Amino acid sequence: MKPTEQQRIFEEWLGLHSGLLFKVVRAYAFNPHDQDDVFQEITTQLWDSVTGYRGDSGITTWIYRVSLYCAIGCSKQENRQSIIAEDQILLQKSNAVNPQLEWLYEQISLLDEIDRSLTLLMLDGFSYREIGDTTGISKNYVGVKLNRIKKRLTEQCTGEDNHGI
Amino acid sequence: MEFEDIQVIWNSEHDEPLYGVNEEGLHNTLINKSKQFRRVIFWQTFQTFCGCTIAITAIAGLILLNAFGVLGDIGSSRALYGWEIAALLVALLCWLQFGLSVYLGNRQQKKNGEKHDTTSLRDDLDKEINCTKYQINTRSQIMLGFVPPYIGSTLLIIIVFGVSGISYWAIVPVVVVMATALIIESRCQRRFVEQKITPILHELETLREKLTAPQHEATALVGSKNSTGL
Repeated sequence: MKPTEQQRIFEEWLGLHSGLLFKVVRAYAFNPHDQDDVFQEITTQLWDSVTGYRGDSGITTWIYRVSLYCAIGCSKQENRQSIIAEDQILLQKSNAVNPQLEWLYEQISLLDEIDRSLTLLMLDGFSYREIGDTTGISKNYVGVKLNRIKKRLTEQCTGEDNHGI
Repeated sequence: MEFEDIQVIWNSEHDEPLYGVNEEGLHNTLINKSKQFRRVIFWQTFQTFCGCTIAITAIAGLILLNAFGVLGDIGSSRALYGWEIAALLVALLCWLQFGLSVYLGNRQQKKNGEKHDTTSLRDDLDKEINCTKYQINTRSQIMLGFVPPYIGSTLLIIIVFGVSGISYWAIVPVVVVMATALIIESRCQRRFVEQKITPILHELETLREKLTAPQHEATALVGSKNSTGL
């Protein structure tokens, strides 16, 4: 694949699915510096993965898998070396913080790395089968895990009146 | 409060994205990262290639000069003995083996890097675990990997000293320095494996366990859980 073609596809993916990357970044990194690092790692992996995409799975599924795997890897590396970037890549855009969403991300961050990825996929509307295909675990096990997560989230939600949920 | 309400909260992120992307900065980062990676690979290959070329040229040159009877013209006190020619051929084979193994190893690594044959997170983890194990094995056995060029170099030095009229005892400090360097390198690699790579392997295995281990629980519970609407 020619570099120009690779760049075109990458930019197209980034344009259409950057929201997905932001969610993954926010679920796996908890301060602006780490978020910027994780975003750079993910986009680098995504850039490399463009040549390997054969269309066997949907683009969204592919991007989710690449970014989740990369984010899980980043979150496990305590002494991760940052990519040297002159500028900050991820720009904090909105000043208006949504407290309910903040609370939800906080709850997601309390889950382990694997459950976090299942939760993101579930909240973004993937079916059990799609989640199973993306993660490589059985549909039944996805169901069991997600039911536990749902139960946990709703219980936490019920107990948290001060967030206005 | 139902799960559907949580879903509504989640969907609200679409209305107001929290981040923007510095596209120019991102483009520069990707280009720099790619260049940096290519530069490292190039220098590693270049160093090995140069080392092998110098050694092989020196050994082959010595054999050819002896064959044409011009060894004396470059300061040799005598022609090579039969055992010395045999030793040089062994040295040549040692260096060829080393060069070939490095070349094949690099090619395999490049192939693995380019191959995107994984289809799930579990596959990704398995692939990464295998790569990490391969790295541990390679680095743990680095001493074995360096034995052929070490033998090749030692034989070459012994013979060069011999034909130059220098005492064979003069080889002792050279061999000691080379052996010490090899032992130090080997220990550094072992420490790197123990402190850096093995913990990564454990983390990857833990992740894989988290992802897949209790799957048997699922079969017992699935009947009642499939009515969630997803």
